[in-house]
Amino acid sequence: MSSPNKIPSHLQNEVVDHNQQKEIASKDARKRLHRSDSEGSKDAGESVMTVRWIRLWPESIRSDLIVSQLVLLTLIVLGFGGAIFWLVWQGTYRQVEADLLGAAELLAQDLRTQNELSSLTIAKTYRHRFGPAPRDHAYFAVWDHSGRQIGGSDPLPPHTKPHSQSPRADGRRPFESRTHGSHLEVIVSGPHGEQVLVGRPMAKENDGLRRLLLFVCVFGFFSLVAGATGAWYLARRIIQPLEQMTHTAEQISFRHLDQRLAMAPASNEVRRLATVFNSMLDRLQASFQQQVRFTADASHELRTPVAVILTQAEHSLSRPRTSDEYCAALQTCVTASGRMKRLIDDLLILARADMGRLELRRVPLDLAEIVRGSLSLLEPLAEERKIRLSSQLLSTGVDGDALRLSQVVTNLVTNAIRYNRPEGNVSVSVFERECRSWLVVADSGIGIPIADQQRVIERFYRSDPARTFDDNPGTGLGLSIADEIITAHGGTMDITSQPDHGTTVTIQLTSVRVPTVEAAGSAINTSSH
Amino acid sequence: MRVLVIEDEPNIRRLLRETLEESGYSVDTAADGCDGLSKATVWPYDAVVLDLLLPKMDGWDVLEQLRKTHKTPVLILSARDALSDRVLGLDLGADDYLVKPFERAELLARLRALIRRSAGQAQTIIHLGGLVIDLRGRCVQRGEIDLGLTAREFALMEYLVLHRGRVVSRSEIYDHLLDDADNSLSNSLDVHISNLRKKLNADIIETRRGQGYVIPE
Repeated sequence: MSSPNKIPSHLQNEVVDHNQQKEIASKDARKRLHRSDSEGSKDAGESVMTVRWIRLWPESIRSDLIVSQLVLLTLIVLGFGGAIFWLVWQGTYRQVEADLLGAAELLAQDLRTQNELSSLTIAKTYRHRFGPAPRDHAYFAVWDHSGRQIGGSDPLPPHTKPHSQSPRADGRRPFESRTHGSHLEVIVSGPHGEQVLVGRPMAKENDGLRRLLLFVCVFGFFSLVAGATGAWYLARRIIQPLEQMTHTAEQISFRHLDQRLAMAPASNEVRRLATVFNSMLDRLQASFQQQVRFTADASHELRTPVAVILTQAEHSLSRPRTSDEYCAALQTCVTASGRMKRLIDDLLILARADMGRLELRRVPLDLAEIVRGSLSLLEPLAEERKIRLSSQLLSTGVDGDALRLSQVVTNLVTNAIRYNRPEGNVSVSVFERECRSWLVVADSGIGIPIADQQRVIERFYRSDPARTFDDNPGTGLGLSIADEIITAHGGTMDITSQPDHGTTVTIQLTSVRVPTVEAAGSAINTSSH
Repeated sequence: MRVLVIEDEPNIRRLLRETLEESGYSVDTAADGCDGLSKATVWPYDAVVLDLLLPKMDGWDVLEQLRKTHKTPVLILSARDALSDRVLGLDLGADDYLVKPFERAELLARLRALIRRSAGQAQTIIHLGGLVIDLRGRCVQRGEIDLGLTAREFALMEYLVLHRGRVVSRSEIYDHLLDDADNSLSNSLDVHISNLRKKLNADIIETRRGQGYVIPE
């Protein structure tokens, strides 16, 4: 907290951001392009807000399903009901209109043939059609061309008036029709310019329409209820396996990673989700177990040298010793500390590799030179173990980290020497083929049991459970580290082994041109014996 | 007291041997599980210190096989500290579990407790007819005066005291107080007994002719 106004560092950042925004906002529009990010996020935030406002039901698949189902069903019911009602209403109206027109035409015909206006009346057939009830009875009126009523039924409804102009006598609709309240009236032209009106209240038809409306509403309501129930049931059927999965998943913690989702009879999609989820858990469990094993192994490997040092020190201090005894004790401590240091170094490399921070310092270099350098350091070890170390190194350029690559060579060749038989052979070759640089380390050693060949790169894996505590024991991490380093270089490492016949490790890296190497490129054959 | 150390790490094996020998134990060692099991089933050890990760046969197997026939107290001394390892070890019949790295004092105390319990004793200081036998300090006192027992004499006294009331045969004493590399006691057991009796200045060790020795309750 070195800042004078004691603002916590994370708040400081916000303050700075705020100031920057203000500053940028004050500049011209051209600069606003730079703010597009922050504005975009603000817009996104607002749209989220609006979505929240529109949404009246909780955000869940179940309510989404029910609501959308209900909305859809309501639209369908309204559409169908409305259409049916409209069609029936229109049909009824046209029917009544046609009947009235027929009656009116008959009256107009009567006007032509009969002179006695008082005997004019609506034809009996139509009277029957209109219905026996008094409220359904039709009425008529006849006006001459000057608009004077010259005949009609009695009583006439008070609103009955002649049309402003005589209806047309031809065309598709040679009549006028009009409604007044529930009354429908049709006016046709008489033979001498008269206007003949026939009208009636549509009482029984309106009753029918009202019944239809009621029926449509009741039917619609019940289909909505049925639809909602169906949607609820459907949503439940869809959601239930998901909720079961959620419940199971909630109970899976890192201590109970062995639990799996049950494959209950469910839809294909849910089953697939469960399968994917389970296989993800398998991988998670495997990697978790690997991690646990690695931690246990690492702590075990670190505890052993610490135990040696602590026990040795306490033992030496428990009573006075001779100086020779002190020297021997210190030597023991030094050896144990050295082992611990190697282990810690190796663990550190692996930890860096796991984080993807191996930090290779890659330069174009000659792989043969690297191998030659490492081999010269390993020759004493080979000699001590009576191992014939031979090499065939052809120059090939790779883009790599010299230190790490020589570490790989050292690890591989040390393994080849250590897990060899007395008087055995180790051959190392470097060459270039098909634009790849190859490094092959082959030994005539004890080989790796077939069952263990898959696991040999695993950390702390040793194919021989009886670890030999020789003067310079390996950490059990050599191959893992080599694999990590080669992978970080974008190369591949393959191990083939035949028990009792030997192991061959093959490394491939991408070749690059190294100018200085080409000039000096030559085949070198060396042998330590 | 005779102890078997089964440990594959040569430095720890050597250090355990030296530490235990300096504390008055006779120590045998084994570098792998098979050797360890065969030694543990042949000799009547007072305690076995057992590592878990061993070549040829791991410590759990050694323990399982040993428990079929023997009740020898077993202390597991392992760098494996996971709960599951400790539980498995104790369930297979181990009497104690100590994690490496360990403190010397704790190892010795646990070993003493193990041997004491297996002999049916609960205390580290035993009062016997005016004598005070301190199993922890490995000394015998009368009042405030230390009787100045040698390590060998104390080991003999300790064994007889822990098994007091029972006749201990000469061969049993050889088995428990000798290790593989030791044959000095066999000729001089009578001498040690006689020296011990002189130093204790009390006739608490009785000779049962043809059977052995006993300290009565």
